[in-house]
Order: sequence, then structure tokens, then C-alpha cells
Amino acid sequence: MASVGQTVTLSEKHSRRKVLSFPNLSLKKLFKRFIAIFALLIIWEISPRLGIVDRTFLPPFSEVIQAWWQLVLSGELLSHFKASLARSLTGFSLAILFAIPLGLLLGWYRPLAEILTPLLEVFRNTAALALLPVFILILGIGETSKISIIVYACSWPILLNTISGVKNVDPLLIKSAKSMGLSSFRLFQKVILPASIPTIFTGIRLAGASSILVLIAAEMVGAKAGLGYLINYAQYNFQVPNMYAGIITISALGLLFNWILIKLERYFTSWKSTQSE
Amino acid sequence: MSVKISFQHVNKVFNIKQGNEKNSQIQFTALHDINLEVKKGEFMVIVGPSGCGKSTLLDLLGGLTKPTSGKILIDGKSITGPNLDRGIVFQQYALFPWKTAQANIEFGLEAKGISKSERSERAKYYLSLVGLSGFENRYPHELSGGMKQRIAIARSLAYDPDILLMDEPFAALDAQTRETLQSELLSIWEKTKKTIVFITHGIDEAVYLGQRVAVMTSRPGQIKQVIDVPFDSRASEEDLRSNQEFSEIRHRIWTLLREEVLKAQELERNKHLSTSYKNLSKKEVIARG
Repeated sequence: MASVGQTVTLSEKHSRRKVLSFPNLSLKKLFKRFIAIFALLIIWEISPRLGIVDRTFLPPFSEVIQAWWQLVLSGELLSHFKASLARSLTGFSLAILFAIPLGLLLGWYRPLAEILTPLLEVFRNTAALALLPVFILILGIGETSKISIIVYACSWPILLNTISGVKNVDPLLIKSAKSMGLSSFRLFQKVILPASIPTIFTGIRLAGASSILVLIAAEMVGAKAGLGYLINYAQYNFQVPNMYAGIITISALGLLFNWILIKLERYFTSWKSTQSE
Repeated sequence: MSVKISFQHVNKVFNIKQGNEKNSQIQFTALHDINLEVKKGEFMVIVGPSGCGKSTLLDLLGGLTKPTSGKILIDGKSITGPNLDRGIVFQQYALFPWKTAQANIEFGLEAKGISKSERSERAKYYLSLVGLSGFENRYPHELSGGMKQRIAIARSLAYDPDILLMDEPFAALDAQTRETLQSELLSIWEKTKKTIVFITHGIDEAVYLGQRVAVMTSRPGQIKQVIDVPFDSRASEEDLRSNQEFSEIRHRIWTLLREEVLKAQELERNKHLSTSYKNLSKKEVIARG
């Protein structure tokens, strides 16, 4: 009898431990994931306080967060954030609308691609920001030039990935579809397009990153709103905590952008790997 | 039985660029004067050493390429291009990875313009025919090699072609799965009465499956001999492979093939020797220069 009782308590304990250990495990994961960021923030907080770095140039993290919160409360940050988001989303979407069809066309019509590839290579290897003065010269200092440079910068990764996606569709799949008597158009629609979606998405993700990169640079040159403007303005007026607050917001925006795009990518390419359980 | 497929003096020559110079094209004869007739409802197997043009032969039948000279007739009419009256099963399955098993099977039906409800019904029927009911919503990456090939076979059967062309369909599978699929293919064939042209380099497979086995020569590919395999019902036989007659036919084909394999190896070796010799002389020139 006693032994039976023992086993019961044992199993009870065991099951309880299991229930308890589950959240522990996810906490551990969370800890592992954010430990490096956490460490950086601690160093950021401590080094100015200990006088390792000059706190006028690098105020402790807590002060930056306070400044950030003030900017949020005053509504200033939101208006800058909105301005930036509108620009990058407009540029990014226009680039998608423009570069994907063009890429599909170039990937599908080989002769056209052969003629244009050298030109594309020249433009791709010219840093987008080097062309910013040209854009401003031609399109003025307003929104048009800012959005145009974002469209320009975003188009390259999307365009080149779309071309290579279309070009690198498994020839066996094409052969198989052809053997079922599909017309060129149907072949494109039913095989080439879905097969190249993963590669196109990689391009879109790269474009997402460069849209923010270029956005900030464009806003630093002649803008009256936007996070790039905020950073620049804060630096000129020696509001150093505000400057860092702007920088943090930008990295948050970048992370958010990337996260959304990864989610979308997973959704559209769930057939590809085993990540969908 | 009437003649279903007829090869008449079929030649296929490829132009291949050699080296970097523009005009140094060489002509490569893949198939030379192929004459072969396949009867309606027949299971014809073609064996040959690697690189003998077996797959080219199948591409021609599928309408994916055209012969350089000669004619290929199906029901007395020349092939004009790919058509749903012929279904091809490839060694590497060629399933569309973004489509589920069911959607893959429906693919050819969609091209045929069949209504959605009938497509789904037919797909389900052919899934059960290949023993994969319940796997409708699986994606190809979730299936084993054998399952993928079953889906590919079901896909080709679903649009009800008269002829099934199979290009070493079981070569990438493990031995057990291969045997299972072989006997399943036989029972499907007996059920559906399709004309099957099956390409392989496996002699056992050829004798086990084929009513007739066409042995091809090494490059350029020609039909060396067509051998009858006189078993009535293969699927019902318990262990056909240990049958006396089976091993006799197997040996005959083996002997025929061995000469060709040796020839092919010789050819390959000479090619390597000549290219390495070329490289050598190039180096010499450079060294002298």
C-alpha cells in the first residue's frame, strides 16, 4: 500500500514540475534572445554614469527613454513617425508595383534581359544616396524627391530578385507543365509566378531595409518633418537625448518592418519548409 | 492489336557549342534511325546504357522536342506538340511544391478545363488508386520519395491520357519502395489498359514490367533488339523474379547490354583522354609562349 501511495505522489510531483517547467523554458528562451540587447543597454546606462564616456554626448539610457517619453507625450514623435512612415510606405509600395512586373517581364523575355543586364549592373552598383543630390536637383526639395529616391533604392533588390526568381525556376517543373500542354501564358501564371515567389520575397525584404535607410538620409537633407529630420534637428540644437530617442525609434521601426515582412513571407511560402507545424 | 505509337526512321541531332569560339559547333547524334512500334495497351520497356538517348526518345514522344528527321506517329498521326493524350512521369517527380497533393493531381485537369467539383472528385479517386487517400492536403515536402512518385503517377493518370510515358520513375527510390511501386504500376496498368512506354536502366525492372523490352545501343542511340517477355499475368504471380524463364530473359538482356555498356565506357574514356590531352597541349603552348 505504502509503495502505491508513494508512486502516486511521485507522479503528481512529476506532473506539477512539468507544468511549472514549461513557462520556465520559454523564459529561458526569451532570456537567451534578449540577453545581448539587455547587456548593451546596461553598458549604455552605466558607462556615462561612471564617466567612461562623456554624458553630454552619450546620456544614460534612462535619460534617453525619458526624453523619448516626453516626445511621445507632446505628440511630436508621432507626427515625425507618421511623416516617415508615410514616405517609406509610399516609396516601398510604388517600388513593389513597379519593380515586380518589370522583373517578371525581364526574367521571361531573355533577349530583353540580356540587353539590359549591363545597364542594370551599373545602376545597382551606384549607391542610391550618391544620387540623392541629382534627385533633389531635378525634383526639388519636397516630397517628390524623397519618395522618388526611396522608390529608386527599393526597386533594385526587388527587380533583381524577381529576375533571378523567374530565371531560376526548376526547368523540370516547366517541362512537366509543358508536357501537359500549357500555353505560354498559363505556364507563366501557373508555374513561373508561384515558383518565383520565395525569391521575390527575399527581394522585398531587402527593399524594406533599404527603404528605411534611404528615408532617413533623405530626411536629413531638407525636410521639415520625419525621424531623420528629428535626429538632425536635435543634434544641431544639442538636444542629445532627443537625438538618441529618434535613433531608437528608427531602429524600432526597422525591426517592425522586418518582422511584418517575415510574417508575410512565411504566410506566402508556407509550402516551402516545415516551419508550419 | 492495333499500333498505337510508331517510330519511323527517327533521327535526333543536337548542335553543341564546344569551347569558347563561336563557330566551333559540333553535331551530336543522340538517336540514329529509330524504328519501333508500340501496340495499343502494351507495356513497352526501353533499356539502354546511360547517355544512350533514352530520355531524348521520351521527350520526342512527349512532343517536347521535334525529331531532326523521320516521323513519330500516334494513332497514325504525326506528333505536333505536347498534349494531354500523353502523360509523362519523371524520375524527379516534378510535383509543384506550392500545391498540395490534391491540387497537384488537379493541375492537368485544370488545363483540360474540367469543372472544379469534378476535378476534386477525380483527384480523390486517383489518390485512392495509388493508395494515398487521406493525404489530400499534404505538400510535397511533407511526403516521402515513394509517396511523391505515387502522386506524380496519379497526376498523369488523372487527365486520362492514352499513353503513359515514364522516364526512370523508380530510379530514385529505395529497393523496397521500388518493388512495391512496380507491382502497383502493373495492377494499375491492368486496370486502366493504358499504353505504357517505360524507360529504365534496370534489367530486372525491365523484365518484370515489360511485355516487350527494347534494348538500345550506346551513342548514337539505336534500337538493338526487341525482346518478348512472355508472362501472362505478372501481378498475380507470386515471385516472378525467381522464375527460370525470368532469369533466362534477364541474362539475354544483360548480355546485350553489357557490350553496349563497355562501348559506352570506352567512348567516355576516350573523350576524357582527348580533353585532358588538349588541356596538356594548351599548357605547353602557354609555357613555350
